[in-house]
Amino acid sequence: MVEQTDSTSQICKREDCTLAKDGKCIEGVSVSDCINVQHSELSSGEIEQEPKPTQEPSTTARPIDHQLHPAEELNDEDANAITRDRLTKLIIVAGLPKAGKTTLLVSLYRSLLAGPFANYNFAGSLTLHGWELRGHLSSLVSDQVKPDTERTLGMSYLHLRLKSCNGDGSPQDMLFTDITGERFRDIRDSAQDCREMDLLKRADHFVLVLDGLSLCSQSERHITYHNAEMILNMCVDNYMLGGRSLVDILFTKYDLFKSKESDNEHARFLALIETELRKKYESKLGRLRFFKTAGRENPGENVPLAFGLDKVVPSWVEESPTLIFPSPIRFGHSNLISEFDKFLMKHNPEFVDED
Amino acid sequence: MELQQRQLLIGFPDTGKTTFLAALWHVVQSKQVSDSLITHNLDGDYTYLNKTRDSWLRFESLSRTELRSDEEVCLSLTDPKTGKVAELIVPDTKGEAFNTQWEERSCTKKFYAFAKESAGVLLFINPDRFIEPQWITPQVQDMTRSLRENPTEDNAQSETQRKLLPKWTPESAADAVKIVDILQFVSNDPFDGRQVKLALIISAWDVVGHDYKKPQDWLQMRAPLLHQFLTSNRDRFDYQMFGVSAQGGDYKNVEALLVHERISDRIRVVDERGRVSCNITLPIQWILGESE
Repeated sequence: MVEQTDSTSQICKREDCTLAKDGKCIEGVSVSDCINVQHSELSSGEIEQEPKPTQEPSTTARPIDHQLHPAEELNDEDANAITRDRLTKLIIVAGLPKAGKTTLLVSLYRSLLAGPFANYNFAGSLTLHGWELRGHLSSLVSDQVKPDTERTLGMSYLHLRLKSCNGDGSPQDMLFTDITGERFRDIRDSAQDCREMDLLKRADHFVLVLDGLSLCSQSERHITYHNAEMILNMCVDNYMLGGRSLVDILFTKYDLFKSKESDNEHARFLALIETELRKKYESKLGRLRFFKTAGRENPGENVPLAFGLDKVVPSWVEESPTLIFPSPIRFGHSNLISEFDKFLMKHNPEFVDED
Repeated sequence: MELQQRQLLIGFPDTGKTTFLAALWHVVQSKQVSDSLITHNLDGDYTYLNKTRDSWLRFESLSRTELRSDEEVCLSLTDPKTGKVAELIVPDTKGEAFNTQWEERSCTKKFYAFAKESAGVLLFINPDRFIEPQWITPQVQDMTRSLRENPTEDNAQSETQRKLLPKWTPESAADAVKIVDILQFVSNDPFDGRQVKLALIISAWDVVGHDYKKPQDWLQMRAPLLHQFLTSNRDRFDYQMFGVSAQGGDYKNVEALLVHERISDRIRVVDERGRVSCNITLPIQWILGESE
């Protein structure tokens, strides 16, 4: 229906609207406010055709819209903005491809969806889309025959805010890195690549994930172990991790290898890994711990979802190198002239900076 | 001088907003419920409210086709005892704008402006249609395996099959996740750090009220993520929960509802203490600061 005027035409999309006859909207709304009315400027005598429906890209913002934050994942700039704004724990989750890094992170999110975890309440997240996307292949809507996790590409951050169920303290912001395993393969192979990963120095916690199921395989266990160790070695040798670094080694996929625990050979191998890594690295790091974890549940083996994370998440929330190892006051070399100063230089050189 | 306060009424589609409005409009017009708010300055177009109320009075569900696509309703209510005035704004009765917020990460500037000027929010949840997370657990795998024609068939899907599987879309997220996102946005942006007075309304309470004594019991059991979020953010959200049955019961058993001489008596509102009343304006009064 078209009403012609000198300079404008008003077309109503509703076929039963009497706009053309009496100029009134059938829904009783003023013509200027009615969403069904189209206004267009026409030259006299021209009749405007109903425009053909076009496919609007769902992500195109209309000019009248106010934009919300993206919610999928954070990049470096977003992450920096959060860390500038409030005290934030940075957890770097490292490991070779298919070790189970993302599945483990998603298990934490899935656990929170069901209730408090490790005595912490979910207090918010700026990356809800990101968590949901990564959990998709484990959900029924994915139509998967069995749960899976999409391979990570590139590098991004996932955000969580947790608050103690005890009510004390403020919520704690946490940033978890979600980094492709290929990146850690590069770090394993190249000192330059290792040194370019500045993030490692800023980590509150460095979490190295080893595929626990591969460690059960006689043909795979040595390569799995030594490749992971090489990552640690490179980080330590290139000063990306050091005396104030809090490092956790997680043997993932416990839901799949628990049944092999009774196998002495497997248990001995895990013990060997722990012994060797402690011997080589414990004195070079701030802390080194070992945990068995599971990113998926296995009720048959009495392994709940996020098994093992309840032991490690509280320290991720509450602890940081800054709290555990407060920075000592440092003195410039040229300022030290008294006998006491010389005593300091001789017995505590770590407190002295070369000018 | 009357204290005037704007309140926003929001919720995803099919969360009971329209039925609530219908019952509310009747209560504030009829003054059948003592201590309820009443209308204030009737100077607008009430065609929509009258239409919805008529359906409510006839025990009829309002069909979605009778709702305009982005219906906006504005209603001014007052407490006759104190003179305080609440201006209730429903920016989108259908609720589809909230899907847009979650999925496309945008809202209209109009909604943003309403929220910026609001002192409180009434957020609706329909427990009868509430979507919870569902995972492929070992039990589910066992079940699907037993239903398959060839139980011994390999579980693995081919690469081709995997490519045909549905990709993730924001729509597939559980409702609690979407609600948390909306509340985070409201608190951070239009409310800009001001504490949000939030009345969380569990609608269709007649459907779940026999299983849960109080509305917070339902929230803790069925929407634990949202429960945790609100518990952890009391500095940002001053909230109260209400279980509301605006219909009073299922319209399939309308005989049970016809017994009430005063039709307002069919309304049920349950507060956090488990107290039951017919005063559907209670959540609005709470935000206004009129009730405990």
